Amino acid sequence: MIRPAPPAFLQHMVAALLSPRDQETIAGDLLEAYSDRHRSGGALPANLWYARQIASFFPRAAVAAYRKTPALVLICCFTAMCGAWLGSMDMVLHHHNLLYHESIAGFIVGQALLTMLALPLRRVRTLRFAAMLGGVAVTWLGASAWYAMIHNPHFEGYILIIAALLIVQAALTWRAMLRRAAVAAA
Amino acid sequence: MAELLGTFEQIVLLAVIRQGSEAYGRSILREVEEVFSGARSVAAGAVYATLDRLETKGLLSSKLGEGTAERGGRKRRYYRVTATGFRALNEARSTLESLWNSIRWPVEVRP
Repeated sequence: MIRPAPPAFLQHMVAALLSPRDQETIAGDLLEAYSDRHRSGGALPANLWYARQIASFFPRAAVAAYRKTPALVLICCFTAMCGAWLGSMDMVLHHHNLLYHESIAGFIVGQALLTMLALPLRRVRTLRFAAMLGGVAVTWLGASAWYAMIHNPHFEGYILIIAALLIVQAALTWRAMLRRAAVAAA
Repeated sequence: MAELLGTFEQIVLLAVIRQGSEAYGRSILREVEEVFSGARSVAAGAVYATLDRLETKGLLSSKLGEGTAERGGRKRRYYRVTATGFRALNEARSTLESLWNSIRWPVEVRP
């Protein structure tokens, strides 16, 4: 008889959120409960229940991960706010090339959120790689903003600060993700 | 006086006692869900976080048991309340009872 099982990506998420100590036991408990719910209510309610339980593990995993990388979390929060602020200002002031500027602001916010999502979900390789790839892109963005600002007669100090923080964010992201990769490999 | 147990901590400890030697994550979660009997949903994350906290405080101890086919062979973690846990539960109950005994039930808003 084939036993009902949650979708593989959801099981992968559970494994990513739990500490090594709890991985086997809690994943087993959830699988047991999932089977009961699948038998009594069908696949969809069981999958929804399982997804809800995964979400309930996220805050704890996030707090544990963020405690290990407070500087990166603070910088991500700050750059996310800066991205939102830059995007709003572009809209209010109707800058030319609005779409381009909005894309950059959206990317800054997105990269900060992606990094903060990838930190607790440390064992999901795709997320880790995406955060590192985004790190390369924000480094380029920060460096090109510095270059442009230095060669621009109209000096805007806040751009230099945001650009510098983006570069630091990228460096810390790489460090955190490479550490996680080493832990996952071990 | 030691820190007084929170309501949810008391519920989890009582669920462990009620389950006896069969108290493992899934059975405790089911017991806690029955306490709330659909009035509110209980997140597994909250129950496991509480179990972990109680174990760290020394109010619970745990050991690994065998897995079953239904769990894909994964092991179970069985919990039991320690002597410190029983003391903390008794203390929480007597503290609350002494307070409640001095108040008329149900509590009413005074004009």
